[in-house]
Amino acid sequence: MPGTDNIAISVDHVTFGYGKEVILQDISIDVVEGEFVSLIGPSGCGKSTLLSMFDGVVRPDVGTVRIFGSTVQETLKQRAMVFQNFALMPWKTVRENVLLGLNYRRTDLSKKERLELAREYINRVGLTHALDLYPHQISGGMQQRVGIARAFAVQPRLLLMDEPFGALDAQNAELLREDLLKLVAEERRTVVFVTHNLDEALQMSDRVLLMTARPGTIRDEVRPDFGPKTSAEYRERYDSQRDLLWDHLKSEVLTVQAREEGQKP
Amino acid sequence: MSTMTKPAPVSPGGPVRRPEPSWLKKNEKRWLPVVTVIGIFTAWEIAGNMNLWDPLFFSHPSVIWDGFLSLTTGPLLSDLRVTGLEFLLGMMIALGIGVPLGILLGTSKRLYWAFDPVVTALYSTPILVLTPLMVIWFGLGIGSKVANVAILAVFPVLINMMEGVRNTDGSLMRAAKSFGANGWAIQKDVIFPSVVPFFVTGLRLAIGKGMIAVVVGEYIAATEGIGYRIRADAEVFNTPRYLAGVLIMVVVSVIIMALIKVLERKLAPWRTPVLGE
Repeated sequence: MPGTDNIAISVDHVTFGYGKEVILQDISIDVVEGEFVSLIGPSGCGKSTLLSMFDGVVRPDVGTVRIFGSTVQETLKQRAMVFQNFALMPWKTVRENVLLGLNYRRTDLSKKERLELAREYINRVGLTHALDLYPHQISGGMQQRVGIARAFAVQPRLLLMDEPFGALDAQNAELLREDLLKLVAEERRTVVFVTHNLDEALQMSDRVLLMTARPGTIRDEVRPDFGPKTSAEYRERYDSQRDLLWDHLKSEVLTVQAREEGQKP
Repeated sequence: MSTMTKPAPVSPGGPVRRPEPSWLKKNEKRWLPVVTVIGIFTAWEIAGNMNLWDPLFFSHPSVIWDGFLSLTTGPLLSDLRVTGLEFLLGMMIALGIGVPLGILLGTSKRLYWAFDPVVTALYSTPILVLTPLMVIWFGLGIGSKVANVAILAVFPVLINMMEGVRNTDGSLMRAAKSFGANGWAIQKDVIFPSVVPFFVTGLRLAIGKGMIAVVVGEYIAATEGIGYRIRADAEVFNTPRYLAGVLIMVVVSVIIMALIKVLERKLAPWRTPVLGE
């Protein structure tokens, strides 16, 4: 059992709502340092809200969130976020976009050192040829590579990803998944990954947390373990875990649907 | 010779290239408007020489050219200098008030709610009708024209700055904050750059309005300036010189608008060029 000093995120009985609507209901999670955790659930279940809580955008009404044992506000420099819509500055080139976080946070480094770091991570996502291009000049897949490089360049202990591949086509998403896993493996970062793609969650994570329809709570916790890909049982194990999760996810999605239909006149 | 049956014929000189389009074909967009202008002037000149109209009522290019020469050897330069000065001072006041006020109204929701209807109402009012009032307040000299330019040009600047700030993409602000930007960094890296295209649009509209303001101001009550000259020539039926004055205004506008386009490309190189630009 890991000690508390290994806990990256500790969510303790967190409840949150807008007005009268409860979005998150009594959530408790621990994320261990170095772990890749996926949050999955029907749309509107509050998974992105929970993630933005880790980024300090919203605060819990009840309960506490601690990151590496400190408050969310104190740990700004230890985390970085990748956004679904990329959120790149249109007026900055690829290089300048990756430099953004470094310029705000790493004032301890010289300009040259920051530039070198930016270059290194741009290189690692395969965009060296695009250094001086503006976002509108490159594809969506390449734009999200910039978003990933921007997050990795500040060398955060914790990476927050809000459906990073949700706006990409299937093939580009597949390519980026592979590259992201490689980067994460090389750098051993803690990752919290919000997605609505079950296979994405199962293939990438150490742990998958399935959330219920609003008000969001944690319904299931699965540790994907299918053995080596070459083994005979891999497919079987994968399917059985997927079926189980899908069974539960489906019932939550249907709950949302029934609720939406109930609201129609 | 390649035949239809051979797959992917490769000629010894490399792949077969389509012939380069001719210079004329490639530059149609450039020379077609030139042809239009030359055509219009030619037809105009020919019609004028056929005495189709009374020279008191209208004129034609060669005679207008004489009028232009009489202006250049006469008051043209000093008129342009006065008009230019009035225009520049007025624009500086318009920018000096419009830019900060626009940012302020765009930043504060309350101020926006309080003032937007008034600003919009004033913007859609033909403020030019206030010209006589400006003359009463600031006299026949350059003061009334500067004021005229300022009150007309301030609104497009103000409204565009306001809308520009309000239209800043929230997800970009959130990303900047997430990466540790403080208040000033957000202004510098997110809000200002996203306002630039709005600013240039405001400036372009303001220049158009300002030029109308200065010329009409001079036209109504002045002792010098290009607007005054146009009116003075028209009143004594010096139609060719009057039309030469009008053409000078056209040329000046075209030059200024071209400069604005250059400025826009310099200030906002990230913008995808709009079709036809």
